[in-house]
Amino acid sequence: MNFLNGLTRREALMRAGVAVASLPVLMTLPARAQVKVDINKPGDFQPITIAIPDLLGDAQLGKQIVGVISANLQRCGYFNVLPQQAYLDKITSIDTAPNFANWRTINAQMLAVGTIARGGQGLIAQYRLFDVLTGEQRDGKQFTTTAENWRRLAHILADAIYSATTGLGGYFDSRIAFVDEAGSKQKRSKRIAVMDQDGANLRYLTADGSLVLTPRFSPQNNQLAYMQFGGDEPRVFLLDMQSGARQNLGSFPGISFAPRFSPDGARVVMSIINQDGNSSIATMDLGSRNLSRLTSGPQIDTGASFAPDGSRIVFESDRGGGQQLYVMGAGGGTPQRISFGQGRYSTPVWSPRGDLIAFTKQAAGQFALGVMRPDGQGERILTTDYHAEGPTFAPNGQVILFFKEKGPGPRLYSIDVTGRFEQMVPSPNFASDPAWGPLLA
Amino acid sequence: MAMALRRFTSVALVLLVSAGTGSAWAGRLPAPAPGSALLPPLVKVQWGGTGWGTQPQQEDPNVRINALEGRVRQLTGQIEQFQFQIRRLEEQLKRFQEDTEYRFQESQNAGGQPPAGGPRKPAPPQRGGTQQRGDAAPVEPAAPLALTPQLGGPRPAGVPAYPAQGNAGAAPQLGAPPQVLGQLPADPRTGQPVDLAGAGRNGVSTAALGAPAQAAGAQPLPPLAGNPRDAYDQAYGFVLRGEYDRAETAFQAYLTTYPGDRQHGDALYWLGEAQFQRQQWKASAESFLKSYNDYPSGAKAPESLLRLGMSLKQLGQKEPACASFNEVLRKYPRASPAVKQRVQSEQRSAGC
Amino acid sequence: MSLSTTLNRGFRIALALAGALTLAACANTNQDQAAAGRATPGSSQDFVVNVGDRVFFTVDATDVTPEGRTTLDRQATWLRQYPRYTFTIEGHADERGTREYNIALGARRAASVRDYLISRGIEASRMRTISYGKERPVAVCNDDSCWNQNRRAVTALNNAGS
Repeated sequence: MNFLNGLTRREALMRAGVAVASLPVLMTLPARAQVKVDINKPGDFQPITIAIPDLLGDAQLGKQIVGVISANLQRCGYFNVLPQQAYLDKITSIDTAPNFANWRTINAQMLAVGTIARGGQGLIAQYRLFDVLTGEQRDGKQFTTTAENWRRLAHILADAIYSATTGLGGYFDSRIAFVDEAGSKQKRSKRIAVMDQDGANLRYLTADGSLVLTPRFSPQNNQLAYMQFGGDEPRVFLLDMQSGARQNLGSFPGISFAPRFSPDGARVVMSIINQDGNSSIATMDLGSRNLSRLTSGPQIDTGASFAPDGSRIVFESDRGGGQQLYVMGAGGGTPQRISFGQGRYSTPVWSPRGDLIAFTKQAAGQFALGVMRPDGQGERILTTDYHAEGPTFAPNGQVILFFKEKGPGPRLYSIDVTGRFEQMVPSPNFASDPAWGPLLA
Repeated sequence: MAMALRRFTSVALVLLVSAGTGSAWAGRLPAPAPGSALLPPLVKVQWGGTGWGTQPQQEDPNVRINALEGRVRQLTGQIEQFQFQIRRLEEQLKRFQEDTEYRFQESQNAGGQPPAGGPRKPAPPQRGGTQQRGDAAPVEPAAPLALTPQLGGPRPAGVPAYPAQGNAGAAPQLGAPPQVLGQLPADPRTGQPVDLAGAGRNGVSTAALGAPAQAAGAQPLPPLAGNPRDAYDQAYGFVLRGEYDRAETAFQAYLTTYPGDRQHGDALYWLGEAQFQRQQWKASAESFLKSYNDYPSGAKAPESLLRLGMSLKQLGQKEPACASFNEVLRKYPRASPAVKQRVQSEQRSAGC
Repeated sequence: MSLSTTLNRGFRIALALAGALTLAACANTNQDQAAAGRATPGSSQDFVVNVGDRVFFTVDATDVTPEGRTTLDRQATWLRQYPRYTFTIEGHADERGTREYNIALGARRAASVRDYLISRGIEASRMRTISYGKERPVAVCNDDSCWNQNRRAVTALNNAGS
């Protein structure tokens, strides 16, 4: 193992019998990054074991709902859902305390029980979450909905369990927009598709045979901003997800691309190619349709993304010779460079939680996905691959979706912000340019 | 029009560049690029430069401007790098001064009075990436790192054993059998029972929804939550988010504030984990050792021991590391397969 | 005329493209040569085959290379000779960059070519520029032999039929 130079003195001291704990205050660890800690191996992180017996009441629906909940929890990596066959105890009512000993015997740490009933108005679900070790109830809720929304009900229940257990916000009740790709690489046809975060309810929103890129959700969850080719100039369009109606965003000259909504949904920030071939960042007010240019100069400024409080914008620029990340006020002003590592940084996106900025990084012929704090500190690379690009945060800021490309075409992947749980997200065809939408309710 | 503007820009850029860099700039440009001999006959060597060093006749101003703009970008990048380095040096200097001052005061205090109560002044908000204060973090009193882990050491009095996972005997006794539970509360998101009926057809919401999930900007570390559960959850949340520096601070605060809490053992483990992820091997070794020593039958004991070994390995302490790995397998034959696998792979890579 | 290997390769692609466009058939060397022989002076085929419709760029660069200038000089001569054509300069990037940046990079490449052609006396009103980023590669493989063909700006005649 390649040790850091600075450790030599420490080792020497230890060998000399000096108690390390009393070393002078100034002994700091040397700069990091050489020693690679593989945090993707099992054993480093123990998922929480949870038992979720089929819901009482409507047996068939109860089973389906638990299936969706379990798949969500298992996929997120923080839970190990114990199989139904292992359960020793049979839940007969959710209003009496379960026999916790029976759940401890099978090593369940958490237990979720619930009922589902069809009423005149639709579905009524009740659920309780217990800490098996202490016997405490951690959560208890009731939900009503219409029958066709049973999957959303399952996602909301999964979010409740996830939140009550981890202390993080939920994200299962949300959708993903992406670009569905078909045909040869030379003449690829791209369509915008949207599906639930677990892959269900796939719908195509644009016609086959076109070239569309980078769909981005409005915070109200009803529109997508995206780039479409065709006509004289490729431009940013808005697409109404319900009606399918689309509108050209502005009649200014020049190619426009890389759109994203402001957190209040009142503006879209995008890049515009100027007469001289350079790209600058501008926002369009969706009410007045006024365009405000935020940057100018002989450089490529693109990939803008708002902070969740709307006060700042992070973007990538080659104004310093290569792609790096910069932060400026939402109204413009002098950008501050925040990325200073080796390599090129691009496609920044601000976490909905505000705590991190995710980015694509290119170095040594590889692509990587990483996060850093908005001041540029604390950079962490989550995954490295031949080609990985375009991060987007789940509504809780805990999971990042991106795409990898090697060979015939791209696929979507998700990874949590600790970098521990990376997996492919199934899609019917090749898929790229994912965007994670806000929570539905 | 656009052309005129670009010409003006180019002049401005040239002025800017020559003013900013002086003779170094002037001296560099006229040198012909290597390989220029292969190019067609040259007519003149210009000040502008295009990256090819020399130009054929009839050079277009636009081409020169493009090249100049490229040069300006390179220089801008260099300036940004210098600024960054200066800032970093300033921060290091400031920390050095603070540390020196602190040690000076401490040595003065050591003469007579005990150090002014409590741990040293609170660490400034962590700045992550750059130097951590590492060893400057408050260290548990005494407890020099035992190079040979005291395996199976006694648990300090007054600290309850953490219930072992799956060990029904050690778990808290459940009170009365089946009792009627309380009324189900409403959904906290809305304060009302959730009604999804209006959420639209085909699972696609059309209703006007509330404001998007808002989060604070760069979150300062929130004050310690008011009860042990919240404090623990908050600290654990940092682990889940990979914010290990904040997790370390939060777990340390939790451990100090709620020394007898039932999640004390887990907290020690996660403190170690946070330190481990930040490659503070000595600190993590101490935490894992404490977690293991204090809660040898806790759910996290096998992992604590494994991580202790891994920390020691990173510190170059092969023998105690191997001893730790062996102890996991010897003492916890029922540890999870993942832990056992990891122990074996660690043993191999450490050459135990 | 001494052409570098790169340029030769460029030509082969140009020929292949011409073949694909006009004959809608799989291009091979014989067909290409036949097509070259058949190209009517002043036709779009003539432009593609005998002049060269594209220039190539080095990694992440937008300056026209010396080889590129030779090609653009020929393009300028031809375009002055056949003033009836308007044309679109398409900028492209290789796949080893991120999507948004590549659109911007392609635009800068197209602008470089436009500026060069203007400096060679072609009216700005005859041309427009567009960028396809990495969306329309001509060569697909996982190494630079493909990427250097995709880092290109293509001069596409608009009213080729007239």
